[in-house]
Amino acid sequence: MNSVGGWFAAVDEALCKGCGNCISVCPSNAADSPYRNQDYLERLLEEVLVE
Amino acid sequence: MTDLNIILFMCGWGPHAAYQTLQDDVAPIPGEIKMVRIPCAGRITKALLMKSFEMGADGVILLLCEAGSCRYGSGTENAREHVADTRGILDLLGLGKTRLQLGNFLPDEPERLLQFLADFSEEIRTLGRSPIARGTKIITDEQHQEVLSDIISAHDVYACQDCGKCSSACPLTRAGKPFSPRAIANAVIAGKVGDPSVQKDIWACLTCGLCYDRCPSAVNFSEFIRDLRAFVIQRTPDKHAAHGGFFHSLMRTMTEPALDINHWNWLEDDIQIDSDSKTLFFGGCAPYFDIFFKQHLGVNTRESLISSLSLLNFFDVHPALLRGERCCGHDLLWSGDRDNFVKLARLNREAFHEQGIEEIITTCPECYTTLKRDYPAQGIDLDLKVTHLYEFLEQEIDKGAVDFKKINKKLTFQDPCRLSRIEKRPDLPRKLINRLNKVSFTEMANWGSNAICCGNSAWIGCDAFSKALQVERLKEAHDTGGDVLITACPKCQIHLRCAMEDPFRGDDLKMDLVDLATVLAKTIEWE
Repeated sequence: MNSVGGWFAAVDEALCKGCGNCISVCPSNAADSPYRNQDYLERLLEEVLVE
Repeated sequence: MTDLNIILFMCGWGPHAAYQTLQDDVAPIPGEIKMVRIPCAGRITKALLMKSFEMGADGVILLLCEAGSCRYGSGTENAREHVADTRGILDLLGLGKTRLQLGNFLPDEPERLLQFLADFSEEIRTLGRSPIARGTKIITDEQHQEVLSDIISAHDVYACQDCGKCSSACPLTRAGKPFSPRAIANAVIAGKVGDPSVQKDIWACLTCGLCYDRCPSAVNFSEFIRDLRAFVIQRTPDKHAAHGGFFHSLMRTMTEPALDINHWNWLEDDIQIDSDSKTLFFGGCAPYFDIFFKQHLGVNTRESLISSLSLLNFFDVHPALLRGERCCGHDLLWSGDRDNFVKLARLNREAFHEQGIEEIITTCPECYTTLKRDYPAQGIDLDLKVTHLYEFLEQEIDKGAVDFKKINKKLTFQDPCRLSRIEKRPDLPRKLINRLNKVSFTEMANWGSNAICCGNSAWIGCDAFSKALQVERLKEAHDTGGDVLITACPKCQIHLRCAMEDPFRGDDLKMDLVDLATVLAKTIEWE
């Protein structure tokens, strides 16, 4: 329940498999996953590879 | 411990389930393998694969589901294409295609997966570290810090009279984009370079030079934009790159001196080359473009290199080639990465001098203007003659005894901005076209120094307006009543072909596109 008494959805990060099915059905574009974002993946590569 | 880095892009479905079993069993997964889990291997673009190598990865693996078991349908097929193309490019680059591997796994195949990973790690250990230095940052050279006031005065931007001729000539404005060169000039003078609209517009400019041509105060807006990009990139390194930044990654990779590039490994034996010749033919990046775009556009820009070499051979010139030819750096310079441009230019100069080259002939208008004009302007003096193939041909054909076979086609021509505007030589291709034995040659409504851009430059800022521009240009070509649109730049070929791929209007826009060197090579004969 949120502050104005309504419900909202949350992702359980431990269970999320990152399949992206929520993204394709979300009517308000609220759902997204960083793993389909090129900037995020580039930064991830930088973390691993840049000394 | 190991000092190798292998990036493992892992599809979260089939292979990841197998990988988890290995983790649960504490199986001996090689330590150099760094796993990046992703929803689908099909989303790993060629740009991300290339980026890994640019940053110094020693090996890259892309693991995906077995064919037919992709949860999203086309992931397996996309990943296959991306890997095949990138492997082709790694081969040309001399990094070797074995450093990139693809593997398909089902969830119940952990043992096979472990074997695959062990085998690949072993192979990379045998190959050793990648010649690319790790963690290549975009900005490396502190001494080139740009100062905004210097950029404004270097290009005399204060001379702008705010007359609006630039905006009315600009191809982007023509395509309906809210974009104005003079507005950028005014904003930068007023110290508003950080405004979001200015930041965006800096990357949208085509640097085609049409505004400079019209400017009564001779403000060289293209060069102003080029330097602004170098200024902006040091603060916010987002280049609005097209194709995920693949080509910029590729060019930066080439700044590594240790790379054993294999630029001409595809060339067939019937071309006469003389490695002792003091005349060098400089090809340019067409071989890379063809691999990158072959899945979509049927692009064959390499053909113009073969045609150019055949034309040189026709006139008994057997040029030298650089086996390790690097990019001239045009797109790095024009996308603001001056430091890496200078690195490439120095390596090129060294290679030319080592081979004792006295003259460079090239058919690519970007290579031509870069080697001839930008190298000395950026402090890299080559001290040798740079000739465009068309100059050489015009001179040779003018001696007489040369004829051209009949072509039953009506021709028109797309001017490359680098040759027709920056070098101010729209006459060069036209002299040659006029010599051809054709049905007719008709100019488009906008031609020569007034010609409209093919839609993009330096692999940045591609959007719906670029597309609108290409559509308009192709309509102009059709309006001439011609059958063949002759081009003189590999980029014009690629960009105009892209517009023809449009699923709705493509059929109306389709037209034969041929490079001028190819038309000449196919029809030239001795009298």
